[in-house]
Amino acid sequence: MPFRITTWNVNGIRNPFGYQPWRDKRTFKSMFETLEADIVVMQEVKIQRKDLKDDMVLVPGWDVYFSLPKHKKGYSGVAIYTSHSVCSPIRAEEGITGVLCPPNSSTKFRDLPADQQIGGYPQPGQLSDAVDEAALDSEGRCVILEFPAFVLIGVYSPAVRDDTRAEFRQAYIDAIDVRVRNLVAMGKQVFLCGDLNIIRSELDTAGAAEHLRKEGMTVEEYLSVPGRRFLNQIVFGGQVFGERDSGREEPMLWDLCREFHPNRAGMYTCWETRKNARPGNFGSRIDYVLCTSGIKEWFVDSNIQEGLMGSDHCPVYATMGDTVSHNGAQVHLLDLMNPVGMFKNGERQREWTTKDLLPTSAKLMPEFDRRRSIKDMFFKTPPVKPWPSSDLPQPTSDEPLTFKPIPPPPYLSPKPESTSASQTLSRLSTPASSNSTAASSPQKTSSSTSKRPAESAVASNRAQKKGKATLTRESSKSGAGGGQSTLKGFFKPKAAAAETDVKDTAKGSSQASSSETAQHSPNQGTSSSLVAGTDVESSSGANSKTESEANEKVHDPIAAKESWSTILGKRIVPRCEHGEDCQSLVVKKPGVNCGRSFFMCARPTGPSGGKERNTEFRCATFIWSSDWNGRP
Amino acid sequence: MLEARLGEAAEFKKVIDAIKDLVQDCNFDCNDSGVALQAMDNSHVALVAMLLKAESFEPFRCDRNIALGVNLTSLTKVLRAAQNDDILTLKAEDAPDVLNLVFESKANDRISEYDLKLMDIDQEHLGIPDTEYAATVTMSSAEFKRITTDLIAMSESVTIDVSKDGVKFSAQGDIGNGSINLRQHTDLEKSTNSVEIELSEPVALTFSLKYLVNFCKASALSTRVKICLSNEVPLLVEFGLSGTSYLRFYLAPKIGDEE
Repeated sequence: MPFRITTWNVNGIRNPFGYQPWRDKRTFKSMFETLEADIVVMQEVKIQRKDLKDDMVLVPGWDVYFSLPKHKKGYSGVAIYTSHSVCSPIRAEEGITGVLCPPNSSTKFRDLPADQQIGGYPQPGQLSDAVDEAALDSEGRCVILEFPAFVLIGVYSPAVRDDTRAEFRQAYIDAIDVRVRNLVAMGKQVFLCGDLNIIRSELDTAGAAEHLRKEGMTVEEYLSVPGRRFLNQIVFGGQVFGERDSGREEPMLWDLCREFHPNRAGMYTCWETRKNARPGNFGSRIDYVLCTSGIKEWFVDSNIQEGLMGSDHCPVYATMGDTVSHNGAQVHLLDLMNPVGMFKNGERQREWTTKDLLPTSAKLMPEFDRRRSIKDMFFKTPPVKPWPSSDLPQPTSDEPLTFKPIPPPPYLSPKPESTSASQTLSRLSTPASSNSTAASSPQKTSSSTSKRPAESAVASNRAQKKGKATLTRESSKSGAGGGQSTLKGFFKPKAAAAETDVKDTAKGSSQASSSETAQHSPNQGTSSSLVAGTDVESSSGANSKTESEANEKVHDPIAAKESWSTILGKRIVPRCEHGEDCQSLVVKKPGVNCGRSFFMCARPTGPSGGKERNTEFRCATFIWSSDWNGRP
Repeated sequence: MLEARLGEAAEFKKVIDAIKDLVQDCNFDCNDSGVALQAMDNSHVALVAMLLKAESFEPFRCDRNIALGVNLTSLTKVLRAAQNDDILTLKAEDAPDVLNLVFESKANDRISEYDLKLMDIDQEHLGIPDTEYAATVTMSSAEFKRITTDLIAMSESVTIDVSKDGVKFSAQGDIGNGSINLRQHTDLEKSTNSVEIELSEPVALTFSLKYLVNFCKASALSTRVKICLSNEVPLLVEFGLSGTSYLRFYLAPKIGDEE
């Protein structure tokens, strides 16, 4: 079985569960099985200590180490999961500088006795004083595990969002550099992986040429940006311009993914979500698996898994073979990935126990420590199902119920098996045995509660009334709502009424008055003619009044209607070259146009990054919203 | 057909209130002996077992076994509409889609009626064996609640140590440690304050305080609480309800250090 280490910036530890193939099972165990990984390094878990849940800490067969931010909540965060069937670290630390303390201790990792520390901590003078070491490690960006074979550093290096964090980013990168070089100087092998937030070269990002042209940079300048310069100085084969920096004379790490795919273009691990850049593979490679020379030959494969969704990054892995050459001899890898004596020649000598948990393990957090499932302490019995009548709509009752007999736990041995069995039996048989009592009891209850049905009938009657009342209320409400929604319609009848009014006046009031008297007379009996007469007068007067009002207010009802519809109606969106509706966006970039909205093609960015002609990706359509009059 | 009427809604309200933070969805299993509920919490550390016996209701009728799959948060919302002294009636058909709840005010003719939609819940049933516990402590529920809330300020877990001298609750935490010792005594003036201990052998077990604090939400139901312990068996915390009905909580002890 090859041994795989996978690094993945998950952008929220539960985030992948929203996507296939993780969505179905939603467990970390099944996720790791799908990844076929033995060690999973996650970045940006974005979780607070208090929100850690059983399912993410107590993953059966897996141990986990977290580094979570001390102050900023639900930000950053690194986790390393290790499968203890194949590996078990001998030391574990949080933070890159060693200034943090193990749980329940006030001794810093770097101050622990030499045999308990991983070592390689930055010495005074190795780091600039720009950023305090405690501050560097306060953001939950690094977990370090040590195996007999090598030191595994899982890191989430700060991103370049804006200039305010440039100093922090630089200090963090320096700390990584110093720690790796110190560890190598101690004679240890290092495997550094994670989201470094650095693009190594122009081969590792889409649209590099255009970017350089826009910024007016040369390739040399591009590769000499501090972050990029660090990475190119520490990896073998990195392009370094000019003199190497002092302390960084030698490359230390192999860029495994690049080593296995030296010329592959478009090998990207991160795509901007906002630009929907993933379908067109307009991305960058900023997640790395790096290792020192001593273990480089152990690796048989390394690749990106761009097809796995769940985050704005994709997983990146490196795989080691079963046997590796160590100190000149062929050794089984498992012997070197576990404490001495646990494996010999790849055969397990000793079972993994909770005693092998390191103090930093999340499983030892008080709320998860020494947990025992109550399920193991009781027998399982078949659920008490409702009467097995076939007319029940529950699908579960139709399925044949199979129950595996579970042997009683040894600690229940003082209780003879038979009692528990008989108990379950009696439990099962209660429905049957109580048949006779059940038959009699309903009669009893019904006789003693002769009032009950009547009462309930009254209640239901009332309920019906209530129901009606609410119904009518609802309908009236919805009627009002309907009136609201057809504000446009409001103008139609008015316009029509105005028209009929005009007609009426043209035809003379006599017709109207006669029809009105005809309507009124049956109700009002003998005195109808007199009343009718006055009625006619008043109504016609009212008619003329409303007419004149209407004429004053609404000069042109059709024009009014149109002006309303331009305000209320759905705006017509321009079409792009694909003949599809454009998307409306707002300029976020500071500058003269900041805040202006515009239309552009809604398709994902193409591989070239820019606007493409006659391809399935984003076309060149661009229209300022203010220039768009709403008519194609 | 289920029809179960409780003279006062208060007890049912309190029961649901006490378990709703532990269990989200569960089946109420109704048969002619009463209404029973058994559910584990998400992490499978604690188990709730409730039995409202038929005699707690007046009247009670249940012709067939009915499983009512209820979301307890939703049920709590409906029960909030009931006054404590309202008469509460639970009703359901034989293969129900809804649970019907009727609250009748005793003071006036106000009758409110709610239908709660039911769910199909696939639930594991555990057979709880009758256990002879090595130690049984019966004490004031308010006192037990106070002990748990006091100690959770110190630590995540508590060790309960029952010996012939009495019962000791102790907690070691980051900021220090604390313990509470109770001796067996009989309070003649206020019998609810008595501490009774039945002991066949001394026991000391460690439990998560978070769960015990949670269980103590039921202390409003009963002035007395029974705490039963045995090695290698879950802790039982029992609150008596009216009649011989009960609300029981089981909690798996923490795995001992010696293992």
